[in-house]
Amino acid sequence: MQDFAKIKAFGKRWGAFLVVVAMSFLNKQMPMGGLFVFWGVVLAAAAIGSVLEIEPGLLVLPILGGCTVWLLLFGMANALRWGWLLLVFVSLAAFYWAGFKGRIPHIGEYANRPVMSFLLAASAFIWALFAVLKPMFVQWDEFTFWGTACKMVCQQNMLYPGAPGNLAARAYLPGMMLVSYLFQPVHWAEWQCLAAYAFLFLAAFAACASLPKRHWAISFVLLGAAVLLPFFFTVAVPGEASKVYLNAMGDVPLGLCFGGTFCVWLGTGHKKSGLVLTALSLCMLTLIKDMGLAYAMILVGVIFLNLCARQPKYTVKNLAKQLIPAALLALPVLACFVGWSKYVAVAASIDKNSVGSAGVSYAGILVGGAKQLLGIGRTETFAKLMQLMAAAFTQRSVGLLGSGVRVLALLVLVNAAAFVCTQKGQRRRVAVTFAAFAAAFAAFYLFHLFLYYYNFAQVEALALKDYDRYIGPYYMGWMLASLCMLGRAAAEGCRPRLGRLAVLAVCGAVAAVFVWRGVPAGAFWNNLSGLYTVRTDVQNRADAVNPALDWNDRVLVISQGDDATRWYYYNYELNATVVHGFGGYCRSAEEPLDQWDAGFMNIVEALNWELYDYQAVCTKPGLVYWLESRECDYILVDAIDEYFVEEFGDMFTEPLPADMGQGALLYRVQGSGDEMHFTLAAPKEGESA
Amino acid sequence: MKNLCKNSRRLMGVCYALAAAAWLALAIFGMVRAVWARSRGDYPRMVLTAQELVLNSFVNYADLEWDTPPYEDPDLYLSTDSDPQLIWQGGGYVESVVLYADHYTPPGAVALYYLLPGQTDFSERQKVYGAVTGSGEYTFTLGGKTVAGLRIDPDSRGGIATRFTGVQLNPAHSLLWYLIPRGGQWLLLLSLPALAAAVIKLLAEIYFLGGKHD
Repeated sequence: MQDFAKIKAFGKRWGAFLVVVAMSFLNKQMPMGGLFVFWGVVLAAAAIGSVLEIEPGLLVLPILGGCTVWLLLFGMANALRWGWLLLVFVSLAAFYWAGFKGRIPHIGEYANRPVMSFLLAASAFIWALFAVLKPMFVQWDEFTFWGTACKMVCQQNMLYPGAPGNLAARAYLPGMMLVSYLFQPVHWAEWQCLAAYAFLFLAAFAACASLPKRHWAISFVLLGAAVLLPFFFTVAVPGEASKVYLNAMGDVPLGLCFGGTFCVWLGTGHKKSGLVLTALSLCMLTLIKDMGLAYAMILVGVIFLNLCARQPKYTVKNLAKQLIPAALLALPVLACFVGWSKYVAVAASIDKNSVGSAGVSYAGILVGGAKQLLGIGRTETFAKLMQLMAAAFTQRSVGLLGSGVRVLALLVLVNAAAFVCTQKGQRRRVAVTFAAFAAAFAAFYLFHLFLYYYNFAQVEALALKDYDRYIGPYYMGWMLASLCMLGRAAAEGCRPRLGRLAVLAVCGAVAAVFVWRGVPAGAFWNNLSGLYTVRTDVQNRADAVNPALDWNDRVLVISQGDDATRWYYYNYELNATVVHGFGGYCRSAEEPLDQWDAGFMNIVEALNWELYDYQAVCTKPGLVYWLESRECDYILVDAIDEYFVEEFGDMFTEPLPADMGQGALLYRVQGSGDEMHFTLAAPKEGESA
Repeated sequence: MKNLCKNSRRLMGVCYALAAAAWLALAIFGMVRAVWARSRGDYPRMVLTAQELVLNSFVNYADLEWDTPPYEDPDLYLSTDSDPQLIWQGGGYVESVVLYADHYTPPGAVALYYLLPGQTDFSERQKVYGAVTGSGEYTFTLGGKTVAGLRIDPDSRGGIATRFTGVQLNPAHSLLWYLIPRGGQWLLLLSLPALAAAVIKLLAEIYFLGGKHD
């Protein structure tokens, strides 16, 4: 009875607030739900922190990891929406129960940490800024996987391997999509997705800078440097708008989660609960992308060596004992990876355990690469790649500081400062940690050499395609972890003055390099709507035809003169299955072997490489054959040229406009063979149905 | 100072108050500078037409023999390569610029470059991206700079038909324009005082407190 009265009082006090929160998810114009979810996560961190007596800033990343695993499990059971709702109800019930039972008496004290203020303020700022500026995806990889997968999960409340949509890479790991879903389970918006990514970054920064309240100054200076790290490890092109914090790809999350997870362990590893918290963070790291498994296993190794360094005596028994926590950390990592592999095998019939077009297994890559490295059967390409990778370490830029060797020099300095300032009994740990990160980096670098050889086309491999994107996250994470160690040494070490000076010097250097070399002409704080004109145009055109389409409909997009950009955008925007075009020749059904399946195509009369990229020589019988063989229901005409009108114009039941400047037109494919014709299926853009 | 550094909340409050005061001072300085520039006749407020600009790779359809405009309009231009340019060779104190360009097909990036006095070449480091502020209207916010020339790239794709009706220099705006921070300025106003307080506190711990904590 007493409990009922309490619930009634709670309802009176908080009911209106909860209704407002619930409504905020449903408001499409100004959804605030995602921000409230993040604030709920921060509050949960304060509550759990007060119970476990752990700095709450260290808990945000593990909580996000836990939420991601929870959603993953429900997603695998095809109950993602229920998983989200249950998560919210369980959290609210836990708050209610713990609050009324007086189990979190110091929550206010723990919520009042400087890092928590940073999390609340920074998340509100990002949410408000993005809500006003509404940044959009513009990078190709965001349309081939990252952005499209996030959108599919949100709009269809299910994991993407089995969801309808134009997504080729259905086996990639779903961590970031679930983070995005956690903060926007009802209405999809790209800016909310980017804000969700930023919230994960904030969690990693908080883990790095979580120190006792009296060291707030060190925390804030560390946060200042940490926020700049994604800029610091991005190669800046003068005049180009920066994509940092406006990027839905997995590289920056990978780097920051890598560093953040180590920070979580550094701050909680001395407690029993630290193992669980680190494991949750490792799961988050593993689920970001395939390379996350390698990063997570590297961290398990670093943590194992760190635990060994803690031992007073290096006996076999002592060291062997440390294998237990290491194994306990590795288990959930492997479970996440293997579990997802099994899931995609069932849901999408994809074998996830092979890499590249040749389908070599991970083990095959490691064994084959190691053999070639040792000179056994080394090919000329592999030898060239070895030289290129060695040269890239000293010559190829990985960020604002320049090449990897310079970054390594900075890392040596930061770790040396941390070593000097750490209490004497614990210095061994700092040294071992640095050595472990360095050794793992060497292995990681070699692994990328193998990947370039086995996973890339030769021309891309020899250009070391996206070198900075693949190697940069390791440096970023290592730097975040090093800053954390330096901050802790400054706060708790034996040379507080020197430690503080070192924190100021390192963070000041990061800021100075950013100001000197990296302030972009346009960045996440600017209104970059002028850059989104093509996106907006395709979005408007797709919105006009989407009501006439269904996921079962198969649509061929004609966009003469496109460089495949608009085609990718249509793949993302259309609520229908976009059919691939072809490369080569297709003049009739009699010569089907002369063409190959290609994504986008520009239809031409004869090959003329000065005219367009991605050409397909096609005549009327060829188009009929392709539409029939691919079972197309619709043809979407986005842009036309003289040849298209001349060759195919009479297949349209009403004359094609002179150009498609005023909107795309959707036509239904009717009839077959010589009788095939196209009839208008959707009203023109701006016209009502 | 020592007492101030010991009281973290007060230190933070002082830093935020100083930042607010500095912002107000900067806003007033901006207003005064604009008024001063106007009094000296150094504040161009005008709409530049195509005749007052140097056009590179941006040609009126009337002058194109072989290209057919998508519709008839005397102000219709075509970008003949992917780097069309509208160059203003004048100078003065510029706060913002509006480009009136209605693109028939999406333009890609629309950007403005500026020359500072003494400079002769436009640089990627002095570039402002245009924000879409209306139909066929792109606004570039320079924030108040004495320039020796402007260049606007109306599209980055080439082959775009554009109805170009002018470039407005220093469009009229209210006093609030000076006072209300924009995205990046908000970021600095919110983060720099906290960072400054932290740096002062750390320096104080190093020099005044001998490394001990309050």
